[in-house]
Amino acid sequence: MPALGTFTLLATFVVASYALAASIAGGRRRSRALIESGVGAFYMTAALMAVASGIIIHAFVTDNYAIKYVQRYSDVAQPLAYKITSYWGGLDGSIMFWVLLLSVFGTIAVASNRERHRELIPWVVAIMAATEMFFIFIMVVHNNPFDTFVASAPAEGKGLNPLLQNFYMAIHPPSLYTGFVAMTIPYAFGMAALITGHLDDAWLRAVRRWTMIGWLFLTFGLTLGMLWAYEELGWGGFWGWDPVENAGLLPWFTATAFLHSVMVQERRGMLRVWNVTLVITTFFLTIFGTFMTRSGVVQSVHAFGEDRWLAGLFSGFMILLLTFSFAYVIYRLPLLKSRHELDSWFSREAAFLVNNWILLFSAFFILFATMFPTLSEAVRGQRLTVGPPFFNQWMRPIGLVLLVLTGIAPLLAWKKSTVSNLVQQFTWPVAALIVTGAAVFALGIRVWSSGICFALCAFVGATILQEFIRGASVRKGASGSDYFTALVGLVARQQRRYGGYIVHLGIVLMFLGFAGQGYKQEKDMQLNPGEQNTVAGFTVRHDSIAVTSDDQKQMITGHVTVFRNGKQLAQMAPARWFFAKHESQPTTEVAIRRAPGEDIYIVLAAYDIGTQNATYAVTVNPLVNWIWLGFGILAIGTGIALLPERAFAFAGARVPEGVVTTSLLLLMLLLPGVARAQTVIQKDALRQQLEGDLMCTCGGCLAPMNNCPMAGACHGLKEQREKVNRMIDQGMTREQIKAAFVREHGGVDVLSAPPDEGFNRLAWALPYVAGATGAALVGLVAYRWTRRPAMPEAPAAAGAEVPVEDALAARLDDELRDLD
Amino acid sequence: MSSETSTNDGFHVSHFFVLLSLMAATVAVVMARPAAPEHLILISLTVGAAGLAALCFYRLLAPLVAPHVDMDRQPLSDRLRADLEREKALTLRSIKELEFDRAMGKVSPADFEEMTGRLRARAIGIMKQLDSASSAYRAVIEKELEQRLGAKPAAPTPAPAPVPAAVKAAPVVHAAAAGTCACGTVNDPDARFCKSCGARLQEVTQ
Repeated sequence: MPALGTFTLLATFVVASYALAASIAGGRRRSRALIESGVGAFYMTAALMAVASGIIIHAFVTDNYAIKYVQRYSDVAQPLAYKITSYWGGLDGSIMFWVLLLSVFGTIAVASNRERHRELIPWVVAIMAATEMFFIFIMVVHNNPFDTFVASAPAEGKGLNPLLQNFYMAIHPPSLYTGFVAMTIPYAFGMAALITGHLDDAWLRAVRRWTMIGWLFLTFGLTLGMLWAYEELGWGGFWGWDPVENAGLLPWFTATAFLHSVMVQERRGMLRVWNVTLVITTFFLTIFGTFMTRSGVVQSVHAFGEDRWLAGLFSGFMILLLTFSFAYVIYRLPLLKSRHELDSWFSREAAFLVNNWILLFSAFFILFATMFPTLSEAVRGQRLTVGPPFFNQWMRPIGLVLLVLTGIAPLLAWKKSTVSNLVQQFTWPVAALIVTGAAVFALGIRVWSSGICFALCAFVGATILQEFIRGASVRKGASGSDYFTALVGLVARQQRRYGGYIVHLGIVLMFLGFAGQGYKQEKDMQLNPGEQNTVAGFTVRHDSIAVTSDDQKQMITGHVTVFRNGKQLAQMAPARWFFAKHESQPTTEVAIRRAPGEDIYIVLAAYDIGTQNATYAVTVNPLVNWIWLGFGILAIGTGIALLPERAFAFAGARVPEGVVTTSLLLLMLLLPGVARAQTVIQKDALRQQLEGDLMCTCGGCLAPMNNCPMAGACHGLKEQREKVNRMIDQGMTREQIKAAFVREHGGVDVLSAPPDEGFNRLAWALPYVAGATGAALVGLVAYRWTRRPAMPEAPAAAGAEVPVEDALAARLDDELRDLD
Repeated sequence: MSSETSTNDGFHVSHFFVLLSLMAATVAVVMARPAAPEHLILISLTVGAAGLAALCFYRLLAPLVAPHVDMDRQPLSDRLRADLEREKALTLRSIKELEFDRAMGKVSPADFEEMTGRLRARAIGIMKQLDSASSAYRAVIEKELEQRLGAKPAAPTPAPAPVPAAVKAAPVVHAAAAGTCACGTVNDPDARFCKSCGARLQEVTQ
């Protein structure tokens, strides 16, 4: 069986190379036979990868421990579902999964675009086949999932890491991989357009849908990752700025930038070089992200491990990729140059330029900060850590600026906005901003970033609402229907725009959730049975500790009751699970009680079964559920934008009179209570600050003390906390304590952010420089655009053909009138 | 997926591979020793995938042995026509969107005129392409009729179409097949001038 698997991989490589050769030859010679043959070969790679996947999954399911990969990631007692998901649990399998997804999506893309974009298809196939070949080469030569033990195989499997044995394992990696792989297709079409010189907007149309789908799955994968970290890791947060997390975020930024700037190309014919560059960069970042997590270049809990050979191979591929792609961009530059100019800075084009600048700056900043430790070690030999404080300090203001733009851009006109225009569009949203800002201040919320965020959320929310209302009015006036029908018709007839607005609404809700983190509260409580303690208005009473077990694991559960204002809210049961063969890595089973206003989040940090004494780490996370809800709305918006027009055929029908009031009444009954804002209590501020400043010295989790995912089982963390407390009691200041830890540890990598001195100034300064340079470049390009005289549009009709054109123009007007 | 038409009624090449996969899957399932349902399902799926791979292999080979088809002389297939219609619908939608934007105050009337002008030109171009598709079909049908009826000699090439006086007298080329120029370039069936040398082409039908 394993030999058959290896054979299938080899066969796929050969077939992919044939697809590459036949497509290139067919494209150059315009030979339909060769092109069709190449397409058939590409379909065959998908089928062969399905066979290979079937073989490895069969091996997992039948417990074939002769195969090293199966033995490493499975054991007999593992549930069937996790045996199957172990396919992508390790490095080798994840690469095979990548190739499978690439071949399947590529097949779908080619099959659906074969007639429409006939000239591009051979090159699309060639590029995707080349990418497949690279990954299969890695597998066959170095990381073969079908490798067997040379001597006798072990009788037992090692089992999947307990942290991975939850249902998120089934959806998070596939979603992320789908997002990454889907970005290959826009790249392939973009390169095909460059190679053939067919640079009109046709390639954009082929590509926009795929970018949206990839973007949706990438967002889904990232949100699932956040949920997973929140529910399973037990440090009370959901994003640690870990290199692997950042690797997923980088292409997200460039893909978002592309989805926006593509609109400028479609409307005004501008930014064509830039769009092609964005597509290339997005694909490059997906490969780079894969490289980061598999080569050992950066340290991460997530990483698959260190592998020099793999790092070298990936580097070679990336250099080849960049050279090839940008060579073609430069070659085709004359064809790509825009013919239009920027008329005004108060235009939507300008807003999109700023949007792109911010998103690209964010991507660059995160990339730089993630690679800075490696850079520092290479240049100065000094290892340091760039942790959450550094990222948060930068990303908060950037996020707020992005939020502002989300509100402003849709209200600006194309080409130029007049003052009266601006006044008319901005009055209500700015009013909402001021009112909310005042309310936030009056309620005593003093965390400035959260307060500003609330006000901006109101601003953007008001702009979106205004767009819907005004759009429905216009449509109502044009079609003579009632408001409700007009609203439905509005969304149906302008799916992309209004779907996009709904996506923005989802983003606003997610920002609302992020703002809540500004005043979250944590407390550790050590309790005997019957004792209770309070944090942020919640009283937690410890009842008992129970010990149970099943086939796979032993479970230690702490039972607590939670009260608020004297009333019992819930009984919760945080636990620790000890899996057989992985007893040193118990999992933290967090108990969460969710509400729109806040979550109460309890972790069993320590326990003594004899005395029934338990220590709980209790966190109150305000507004965190709005993040998950926000994603749901974002997905709905994307779905609306993606659906084919046929799906909205019903939109023309009129809705019966009473329906509107009834539906609204029903909706109001179903809505839960409004979110309650928490006032801030600054407790133990210094201790909290230091837990953010210092890295956990256990050496395993690579996280600051307040983010350690192994909290509770981490012995190093407990001692370190006591040490910090002792230092605070002695009256040492923040800087003194940090210096003491650096002395003791023997290096500055115990701090979660690089100290501001010498070479490290680069880390702090470079983002400023990059941001300023980016802004200057954008400004320069825009300025030159305003200087360039507009070239006249090619006249729509030659003189001799006027009668024909008139007839066609009349027909066109008829068809427009008939269109809804 | 196969581009070959079969001569047998109702039997298509893919059916052969489906049958083959089913038989192989049956054999594999019968021969498999561990009999848990998930094992059998996986075996069947894997054998099915192998059958699919075989079908794709056929798909890989078939175009290489099929009679040579010139890519540039393909008439508009149904799919291409459907795609052109879709393209036209999209362009019309964009025009409607611009009108909506103007109503919402997002575009000034002058800018509106300029931007719709471009879109209207594109829509008219597509409409012309769709119209000419029907004339291209007629050319292909006539040619096939000639081939099938066989004995009937080719119709004498008609006199050149009456040319408006304003157009310069360019050399008229008598083409053996629609769209082929004397320089050897194959153009669209409804082309009037060669796209590489610019010579005036013979039109088969008007």
